[in-house]
Amino acid sequence: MEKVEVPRELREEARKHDMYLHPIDKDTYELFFGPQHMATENFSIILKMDGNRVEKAIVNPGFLHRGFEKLAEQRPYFTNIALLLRICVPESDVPENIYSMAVDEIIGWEVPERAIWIRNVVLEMARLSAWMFWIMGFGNEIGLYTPGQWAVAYRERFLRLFEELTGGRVYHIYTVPGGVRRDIPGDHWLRQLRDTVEYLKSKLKDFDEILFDNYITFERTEGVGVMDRKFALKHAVTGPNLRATGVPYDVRKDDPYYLYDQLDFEIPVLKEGDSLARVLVRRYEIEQDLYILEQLLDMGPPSGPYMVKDPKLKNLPRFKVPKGDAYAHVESTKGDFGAYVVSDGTHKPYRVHVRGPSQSHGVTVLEELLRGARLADVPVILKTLDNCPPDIDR
Amino acid sequence: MSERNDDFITYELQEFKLFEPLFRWARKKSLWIVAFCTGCGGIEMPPLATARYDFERFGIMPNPAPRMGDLFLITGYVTPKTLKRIIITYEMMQDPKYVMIHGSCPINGGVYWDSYNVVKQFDKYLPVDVAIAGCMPRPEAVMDGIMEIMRKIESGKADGWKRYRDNYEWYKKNQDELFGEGWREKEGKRWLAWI
Amino acid sequence: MDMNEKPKVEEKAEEVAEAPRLPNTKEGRLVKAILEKAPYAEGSIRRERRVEFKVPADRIHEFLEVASEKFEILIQITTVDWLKEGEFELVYQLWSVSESVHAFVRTRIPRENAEMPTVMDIWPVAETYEREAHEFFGIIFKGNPRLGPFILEPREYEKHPFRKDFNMIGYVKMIYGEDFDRYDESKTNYVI
Repeated sequence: MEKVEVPRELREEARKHDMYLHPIDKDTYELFFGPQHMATENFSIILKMDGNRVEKAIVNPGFLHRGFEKLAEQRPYFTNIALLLRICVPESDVPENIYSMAVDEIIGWEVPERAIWIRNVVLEMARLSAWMFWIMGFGNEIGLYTPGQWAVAYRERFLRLFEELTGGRVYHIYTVPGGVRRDIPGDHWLRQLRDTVEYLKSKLKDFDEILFDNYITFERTEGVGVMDRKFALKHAVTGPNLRATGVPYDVRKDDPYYLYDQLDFEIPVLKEGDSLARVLVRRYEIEQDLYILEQLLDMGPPSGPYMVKDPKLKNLPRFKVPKGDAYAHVESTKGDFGAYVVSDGTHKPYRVHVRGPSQSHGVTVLEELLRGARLADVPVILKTLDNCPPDIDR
Repeated sequence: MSERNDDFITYELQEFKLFEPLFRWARKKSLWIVAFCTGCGGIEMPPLATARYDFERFGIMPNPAPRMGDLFLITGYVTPKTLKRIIITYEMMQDPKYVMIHGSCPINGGVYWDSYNVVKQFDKYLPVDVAIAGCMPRPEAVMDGIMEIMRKIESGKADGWKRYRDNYEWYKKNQDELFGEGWREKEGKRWLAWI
Repeated sequence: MDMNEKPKVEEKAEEVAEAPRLPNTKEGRLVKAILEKAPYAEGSIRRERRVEFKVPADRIHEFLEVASEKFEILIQITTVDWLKEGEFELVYQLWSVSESVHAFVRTRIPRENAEMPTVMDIWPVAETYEREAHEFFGIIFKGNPRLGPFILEPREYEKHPFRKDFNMIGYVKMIYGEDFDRYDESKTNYVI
């Protein structure tokens, strides 16, 4: 490799101003991708470039590390809900739910049917709003800005419903161990939810025309970032990324929680394993989620309490959980999201370990897929993997 | 910088003092945001930028290059690792530049008040013009903050960049206390070559 | 489009009466099959779709190699710091896609100079999990080439902050100054 020397005068001039100029290899150079980049969202990749090709990628996470698992050990069980949901910003209900499910299992609480129905609806709403957010991110990366404008506006409808149900737009702090924090505001809320679902259903074909069935999407994603079934399983890829390689693994079917074993839905599976397959799997999942929400609304909320009756709940800061440990996981839009909670019998958890799906597909898999990709494909691969940096950093 | 250069700049500024109100008006109406969404507040940026809250009607635009940016939004908690990049990006921005912080976390740590990896008082390290409290601030609150910064620009009170220049020693001392002496050379070596 | 047509095993796990006798469910058969190949381990069933193994630390690699035939995905490696016992507990959490069973593989190692063999050769994703466990707890995984500051900055990395003996409040005061305290009104007690 031929090195281009920086001219001597320039070097001396630079040294006067405390600067240091590197000699640059003629063909290869290092590119710092992020954290100040719109596609990476507080996530840095150091790319060793050879012209326009990525020779090697090194993932450099940690810009969002807050030490959640350490902080959770310092706070009482119910206070932790307000903390742990900040792990996954686009669908903050997922960490709430896995933590609550794990604590429920340790205590051995039978969560009331009404609470389970509400939790299920909230999870599906969170999934849909996260899909809408993903459409915006993906559309922006390939230069299609219109679907993003629509999708974020449709997401606002869900956020408005969330706001009426929980009081918060983004962070809901709604699902707590033993049930949910508040009841459904009334029948008008269910009507509005049904309207929203039907509205989004009618708009899905617009997204098809402009994004999923678009020549640009096909050109940009076909054959980019291919992984096969064996590679995906060895690297613990889950969620839509795994289903795009032909493995029909979905937590909702394989380890059913809440009402999913009573619901009728399909898991879309494609075999190609490239970015296009990942995009299309997500497209079919949106349809299935709308279908699930419709079925849940047809079922209607069961009557009864929305929180378990337990005299211990009167003194929440000193609420003690028996010794034990439990693992609970749900299917988020990014994959298998799990939490492992260990209790030593006191009022604070002994250990909380959250497994974000991006932890597996955002580090080693990303590094492998980026090798040999063109620079313009880097954001496409990032967005079709649906990499969420707070999962990795926590 | 040589002395001649300094004189030149002062001279130029004096010449243009007459047009200062015009400049302020223009700056107020074309705030470009540096698209560095730190922390969780970044999730409220797309709703702000798109149909429902649409901030482009005020001349605000997200822009990837810090060289062209005017407004730096710190949208959430800041970890030391990010703070280094924030300081480098802030110093890359051209004067005049404004900083707005979102939410409780940059103000006093918020829910992460006892976390070992979250900066507690952001204004010790960089000057802040407007701070919005709450977690997370609603888009309306962010719009209100942006309006406040526009008012401050018009009245000439948004002087964070001047404070940073005048009190550079103090800010640099705080930064060095957190990161250790010589962090710029260690971390920013490669960056500085490009500046 | 290829829809999922995976046959679902409908058997329900019966209550385990005695620990050594394994019920004739899919979990029971799975545990039995693995224990035949690895008699040094203890296996039990926790509930439907949750099984548990206890393995001595020196044979963990051997055991996981056996288990990886049935369990395709390594979901996570959890480290629990049992300060009073002076031990780290490592929980390898596996998921079997074909059988839909989650397994905890537990092992304990002493806290001082904790060392483990890497399982990168079985599941490459273990690299990330091990880097994390090394960073936050200081466990050294022999054979993993990328141990070092990963998420944390070097200064915090040296402290291994998730260990139970890491004094977080003291450290925060030292780094960020004292003026962030949250006292109650009498200025004597911390309030969270």
